[in-house]
Amino acid sequence: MTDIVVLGAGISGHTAALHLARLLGRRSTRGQHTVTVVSPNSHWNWIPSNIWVGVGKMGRDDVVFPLEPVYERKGIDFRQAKAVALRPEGDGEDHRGAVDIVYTGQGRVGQEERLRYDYLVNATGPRLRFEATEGLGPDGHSLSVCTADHAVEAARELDEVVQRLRAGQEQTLVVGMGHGTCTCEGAAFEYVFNVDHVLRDAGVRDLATLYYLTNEASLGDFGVDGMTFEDQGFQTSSELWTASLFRERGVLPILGAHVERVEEGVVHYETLDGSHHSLDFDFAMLLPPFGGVGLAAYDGQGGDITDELFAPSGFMRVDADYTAKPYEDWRAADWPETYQVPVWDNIFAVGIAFAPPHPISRPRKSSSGTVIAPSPPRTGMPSGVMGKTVALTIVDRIRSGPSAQPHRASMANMGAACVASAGAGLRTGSAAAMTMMPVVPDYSRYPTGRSLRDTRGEIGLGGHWVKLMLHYLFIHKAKGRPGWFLIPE
Amino acid sequence: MTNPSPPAPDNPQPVADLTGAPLPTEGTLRRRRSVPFQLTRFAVFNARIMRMVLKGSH
Repeated sequence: MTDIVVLGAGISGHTAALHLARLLGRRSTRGQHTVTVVSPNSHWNWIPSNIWVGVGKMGRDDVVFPLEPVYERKGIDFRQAKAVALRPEGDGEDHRGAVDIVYTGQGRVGQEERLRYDYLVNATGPRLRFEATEGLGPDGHSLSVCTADHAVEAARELDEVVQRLRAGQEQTLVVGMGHGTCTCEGAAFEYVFNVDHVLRDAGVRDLATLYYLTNEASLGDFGVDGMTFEDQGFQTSSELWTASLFRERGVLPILGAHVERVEEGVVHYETLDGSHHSLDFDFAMLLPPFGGVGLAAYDGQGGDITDELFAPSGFMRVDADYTAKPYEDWRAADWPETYQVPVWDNIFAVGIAFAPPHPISRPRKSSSGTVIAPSPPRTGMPSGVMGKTVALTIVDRIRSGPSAQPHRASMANMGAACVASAGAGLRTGSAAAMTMMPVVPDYSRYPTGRSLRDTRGEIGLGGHWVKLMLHYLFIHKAKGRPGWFLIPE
Repeated sequence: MTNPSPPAPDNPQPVADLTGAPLPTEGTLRRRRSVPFQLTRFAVFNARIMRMVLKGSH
């Protein structure tokens, strides 16, 4: 009998759970193996489409669906609860690993339970650290599109801006990153161009000033140190390619910025040269920095071993090289391959939950010492791949014994497609569609860090169709509908 | 499509200088909106994703 517990039901955790259930067989034929998903949320959210919810092009119900019916159909146990503590060595009653959870739904809010596991997949995703910047977030003075509910609120506020513009009032809109260490610059990039598209559709763009406020030191960095493309016989940078779009659409970029504080209608920020600025706004969508969810860890005697399992950021340490070293010494080989936790090889961390060895973009500090450095993205396509990889490892170990070799999927040997919507509409939409291979540049294999053949970028209506297709394909996949496993992660 | 939105002069912001960035020509903008041309790009982009999936650790 093997009990597998998956913490989190985002892209990586949900993918892992679906593949585990598929590979181990349906509940009736699976024998004694159990797959249990623990998630504080009752619904799954296709987060990439929150951008369209945030401009009113999609509704909340277009991007979320309830998890329980899917898990019921797939023979997966579901606990609507949040994990609070790991016990890799168990406790006085049972030496198997255990995880303490507190229910957030299913009529058991606040109740605690200790789940035993043979294998644990930590896919808890990020904690949205709005508190890192004073006044940031929906409970402060800015908006977010990180959750479907946040996006609905952003769409409502944007609609009010459009009404004021129609009445002839000039408006200033700010979209970007709410802290110097944020990740997901691609999402802010998408949102700013979708806002631009909405304002043009409404015929009010000329009265609006639209800023893109980012921690990236240069446009097109996207937290992956930028990309080099081959275009008509020349090598060009994602910086020039992206700057062209900003110039064409009249969006004003402010680079290398750390937001210090957000007040009602004013954002205060510092830039890399150490200068401080204030920007008045009528609408601000600023993403928060991410952190780990704050799990504690205890050994068999109840001693605190949180620092052994987790980095100070709260993300879980896995098989990466965490030796501190300068940017020039970073190597692709520093990145994890198996996502196993050292010492406890029955614990894995995938998606945003694993601690990256270092950023991908060159880290910078302002002249006054403020860290302004994009954190590495590990969402979307890589998250799904990691989830499937650890599911394959666990299934092999159940079938062949604990010495079975783990499957490997390093972000330094994994490609990703980033389709950044620049406006919705079947005939009028647009997107900046990029592929990069690998995600983490490997200068020992490629002079530009990435394969020029597979690292491409193009802008156009076709990119919008790709993003729309991915929306429907991945919701089909996440619902476990026929043939779901044939759709690549 | 070009529509610069200059910041209010009484509150200047450190906006990046984009004057060196290339602007797309009318032909490029037309191709970006052309349904037949974009259908081809759609197919090519999907083929590229599949190539990446088959080639990398996916």
